[in-house]
Amino acid sequence: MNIKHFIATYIIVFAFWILLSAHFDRFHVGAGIVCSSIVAYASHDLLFAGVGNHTLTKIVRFIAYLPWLIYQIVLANIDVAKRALSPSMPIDPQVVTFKTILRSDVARTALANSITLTPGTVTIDIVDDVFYVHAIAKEPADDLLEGAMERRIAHVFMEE
Amino acid sequence: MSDTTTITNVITVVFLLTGAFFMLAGTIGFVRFPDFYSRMHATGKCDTLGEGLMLVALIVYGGATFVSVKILFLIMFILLANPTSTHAIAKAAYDVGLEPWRKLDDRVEWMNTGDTSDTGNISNTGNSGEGRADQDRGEGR
Amino acid sequence: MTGALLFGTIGMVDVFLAMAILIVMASFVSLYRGIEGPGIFNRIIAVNVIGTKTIVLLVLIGFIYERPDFFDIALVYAILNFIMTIAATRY
Repeated sequence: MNIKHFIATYIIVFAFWILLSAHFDRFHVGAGIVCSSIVAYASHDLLFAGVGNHTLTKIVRFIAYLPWLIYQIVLANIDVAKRALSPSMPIDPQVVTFKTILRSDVARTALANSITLTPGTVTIDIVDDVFYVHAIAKEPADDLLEGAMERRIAHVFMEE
Repeated sequence: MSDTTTITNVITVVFLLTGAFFMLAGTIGFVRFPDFYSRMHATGKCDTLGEGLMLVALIVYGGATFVSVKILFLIMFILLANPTSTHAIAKAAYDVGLEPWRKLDDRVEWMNTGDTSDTGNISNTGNSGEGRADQDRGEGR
Repeated sequence: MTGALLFGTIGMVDVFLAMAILIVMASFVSLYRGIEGPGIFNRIIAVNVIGTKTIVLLVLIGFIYERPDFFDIALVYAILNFIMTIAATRY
């Protein structure tokens, strides 16, 4: 049992409790202390399992990546709304596959969720390092295969 | 009634209306699109952003309180969970062997075959047009 | 609490109420897919979509009636909805 991890987990869990309960009387804070101890004891080795040397850099880069992602989400929504509301419904669905250069699970999860949220593409399946992506028309598939998003994710998780 | 309150209310209403528009567009797309995977596009994206915008509007309205922190957690959770559940459903459907709908030369043919096979289209694993789905499933699991 | 300068006699609560009615209508439209199908996966996403709309509906209700309890319910509902979808697609 790593005491440093236990204390760090305890502080995070207790801060979470305070934020969610928003009561500061004796009963609620006491219950928070007891519950945080139990949860921190049960899961003190989970939260910091993947922490290495570059974790802080990765988190900072991920936060820097978020505005671009939100911009892409807005574009995706306008795209889908246009397709859904236009009378002719200009869709031509197809499944494309590509091999990824990303290695870690976290990076692949981030890429899969980003693909799902960006214009015209939904991740269907990942088998080893092959992504199966469903594209709603031809242009989004071509944009995806160009690989701009993958390079961004690789930069975030330092796997280039 | 101060100026700040009016500005806050205007921002709130604008965000709410935008979110509601995207949510309605997603719902219309969900009903209109011809096959399961295309519907997935509508639900996975429009619902995420529509709800995100509406909850951001409510944060702006509520101000800096504990309630806003709760809604912020809700937004973060939705941003993480909604694509994941979309992906989970798509993967389950793909594993079962549901074929993606391809654009045919005449829509009439699709109308006749697609609507009558009520649950039949989730069991046609054998005659896959592309064949890739069945081959990869065998070694993948 | 009312945006009287801009909206006349319409307060923010009325705006929230209109949004809630809009979400309920969208849920009913989604329910068409849930009933009509075809197939089980369309029904699963229909349930998922209605569940996510319900989260926003709960938060709106919390603001309309000014009862903070509803936000906790919304959080728990979000988690339950996610777990329900994962469980339904696993089995």
